[in-house]
Amino acid sequence: MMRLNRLLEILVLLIALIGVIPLYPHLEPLPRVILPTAAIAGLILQRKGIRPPASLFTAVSLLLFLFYALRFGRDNVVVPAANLLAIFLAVRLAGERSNRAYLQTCALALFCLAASTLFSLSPLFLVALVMLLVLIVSALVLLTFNETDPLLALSRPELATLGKVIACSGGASLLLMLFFFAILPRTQIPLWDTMPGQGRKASGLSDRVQPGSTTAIEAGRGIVFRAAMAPLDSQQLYWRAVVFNRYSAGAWVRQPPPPGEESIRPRGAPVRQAIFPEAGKLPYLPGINVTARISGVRSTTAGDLVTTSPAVTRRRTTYEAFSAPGDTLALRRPIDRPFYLRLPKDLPPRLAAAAAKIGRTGRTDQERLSLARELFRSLDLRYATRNLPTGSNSLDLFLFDRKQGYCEFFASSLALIMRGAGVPSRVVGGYYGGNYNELGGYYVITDELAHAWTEIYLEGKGWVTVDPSTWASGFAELGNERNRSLSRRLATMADTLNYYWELAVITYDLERQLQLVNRAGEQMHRLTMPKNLRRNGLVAVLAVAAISIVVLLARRRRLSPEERLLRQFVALVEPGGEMPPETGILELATRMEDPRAIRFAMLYSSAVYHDRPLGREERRELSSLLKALRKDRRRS
Amino acid sequence: MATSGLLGWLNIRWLDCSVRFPDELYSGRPTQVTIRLTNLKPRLPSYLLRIQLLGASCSLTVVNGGATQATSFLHTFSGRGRHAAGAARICSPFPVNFFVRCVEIDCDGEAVAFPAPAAATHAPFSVRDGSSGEIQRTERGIDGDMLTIADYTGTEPLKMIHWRLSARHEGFKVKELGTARNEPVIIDLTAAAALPLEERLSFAAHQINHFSRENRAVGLKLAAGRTIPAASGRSHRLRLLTELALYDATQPAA
Repeated sequence: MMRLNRLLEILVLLIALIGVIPLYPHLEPLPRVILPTAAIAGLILQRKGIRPPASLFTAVSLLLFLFYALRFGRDNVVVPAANLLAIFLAVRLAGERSNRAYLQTCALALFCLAASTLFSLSPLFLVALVMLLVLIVSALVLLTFNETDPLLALSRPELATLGKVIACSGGASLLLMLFFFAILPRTQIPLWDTMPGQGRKASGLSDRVQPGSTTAIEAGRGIVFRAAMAPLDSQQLYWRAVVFNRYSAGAWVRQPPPPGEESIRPRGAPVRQAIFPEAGKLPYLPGINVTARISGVRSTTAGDLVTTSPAVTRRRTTYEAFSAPGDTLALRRPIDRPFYLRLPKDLPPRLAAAAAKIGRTGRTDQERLSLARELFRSLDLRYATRNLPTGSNSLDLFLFDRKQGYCEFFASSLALIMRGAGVPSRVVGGYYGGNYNELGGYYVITDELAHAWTEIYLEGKGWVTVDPSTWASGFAELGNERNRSLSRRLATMADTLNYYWELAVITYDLERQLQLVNRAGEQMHRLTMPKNLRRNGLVAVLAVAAISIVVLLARRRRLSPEERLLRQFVALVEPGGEMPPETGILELATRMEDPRAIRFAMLYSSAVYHDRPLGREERRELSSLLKALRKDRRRS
Repeated sequence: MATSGLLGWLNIRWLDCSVRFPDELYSGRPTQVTIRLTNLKPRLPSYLLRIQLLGASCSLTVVNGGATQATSFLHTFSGRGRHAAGAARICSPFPVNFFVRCVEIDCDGEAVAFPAPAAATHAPFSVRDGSSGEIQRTERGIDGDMLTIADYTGTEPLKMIHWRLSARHEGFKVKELGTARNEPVIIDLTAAAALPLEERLSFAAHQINHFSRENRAVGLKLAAGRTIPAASGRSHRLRLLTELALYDATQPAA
């Protein structure tokens, strides 16, 4: 026998633990210390039978409430609230063990888990939620028993049956939860996500390209977006996000493209990407170069095919991009050349001289581009992210002295040289490459893949993508190293869970619900009846009905071993096998005038008429007696 | 909430109830009543059942699927006669005590409450001796009427020797007496018609039990043409008490 109140105590402690684990990393030191201390103290006090006065716990709770209440502010709501919840939970763990206290502990554990989602909403939350729901359901059931009789104890088989009932109920609750998750109305802006983007690093992509601002760059491995799509050749993985079209004060910035500029969107965009960006600070929607269109989110596309949406800065969302991988962006009409040739007066002197030379030497823009490429190659530049040149003259230093830099140096230098040579150019910001997750079928784009390249305008062609970083030594190796790293590949595989979490939970909003409904409606419309469906369907229905009837009859006819033996015995005397009314088995056996029949009747009635099932040995003996009786009957 | 609602609903469904009363129970005296609850669900147990019946309540923690559990309570019937068990109200807070669901189930079982026995300070009935030939008594005793004279065998008590007769004969003669204890009696309900009916019945019940304890055969005259012959034994006593429990003075004699 097991006492239910003991079981309940263990269960509630487990619930508190699971509720608080996801919140624990986000707590301040004080609740972090108080929580385990209070739990241990509660256990010791309980074991020793000491009951501290309830007023003591009330006073402590009040004091700590005041302490955190004073820290509440318009911009500081979540942290004090989460800490306060953890403190209350600690007080409950240390305090009395009553049904009311157990119920409060369960509620506080659930609130703590909910509070953890204000900091991060990871798949761990789902695991904890499922565990907590099952355990809380179990605790509530045990509380009901405890309320009825605090000294109640159940045997192990009874407890096992109760466990099965609770497990079934928990399973049904989870299925219902899943169902309601899909159908309950949702808001466009999640109410819970009060701090979008908090705790996430800013993307490696920025709203300006300013080489020379730092001696080293450290791009994190934080995920910027995931793109579900078929794998592409690595040379095609240019995720175009933003165009910087003006160079000013040592930095490339974006201005609205000149009015009238209109790019020709590629016809037929075979590469479809479903993109799941993390909420970031920049409103640009990247897509494989050249992106024909973007759908699924309210967005604006400028003449230079830069698509922006304020939605991505506010919440996690998803959109679809359709691209035709290539390196040329055709235009409907000639560009505003002066706009794309505009240069500041204070260009680095050696860079300006090299640009002027190329401008003079090259006869066409194509030739000038070739000359620039030759210049870059002849300079023997190296791709590096450390020991970078800095200052206002950093580009000169990069090209002619240090000869090493990262993508922004290469792209800025080439764009400036081309503009200096009279060829319209601009710098493009985006991402290059991606780690393909074979399990999930998507690319993971991290901060460190942020990249800058250039677009050069060539008459008759349009804007041609030129990535001067590829002319450097060390660039190709960098990409290979990234892809080959075992830890990276493992991290990419492990990211699958996060991807499906994002796909199924985080980005599941009103739009997705409507899509689901529309898709279901379309499927219903498309549903056509095959010609022979009616006949086959009828056969199938009849077969199912026949099987059901057979199963039902078999169930009805299913007899216990005792009943079966009795029927066989009766059949020896009575042709129908039915026991005559008002007749007992002993009387029937006497009629047979056979000591074996009497033995059968005695053995049978000694068990069955004393509400005891027949044992294995008894059944065996009864069967052998029956067999012998039947043999005699046949002989006679 | 939905699953707990469904579980709570199932918990108190498909239950069957029967009540067992003792075969001897008296009006106004506490009696143990046994409720047998059968869970007709093949697998799902029913938990935390509180059963209210006849104004009393009792509980069962678990009734496994397909099993029967019994529980009992004390109940005092007010008034003689037949008492049907009626409907039992079965309530349960299972599974999570948010709501207590109840259901009413008709319970099989009927009790016959005998009149509360009451000792009379006087003899209210004409208790008729049955020695006038209705019953042939063969029992011998030392305190009854003289039945016959027999030879002294040496085992009879000396006080039984009939000295006067012995003097006239060669051997000793002894008196053989009947026993006064075993003398059959018939309680005549019609005799004390002035008393209120319920009082008469209570006195009669007491006397039936009293004579039965003395191992005397008891009979009962219910009406002018209806007499139950004197006999002894528990089943006979219960028969007489049942007649008293169901006695209706307005009914014509059978």
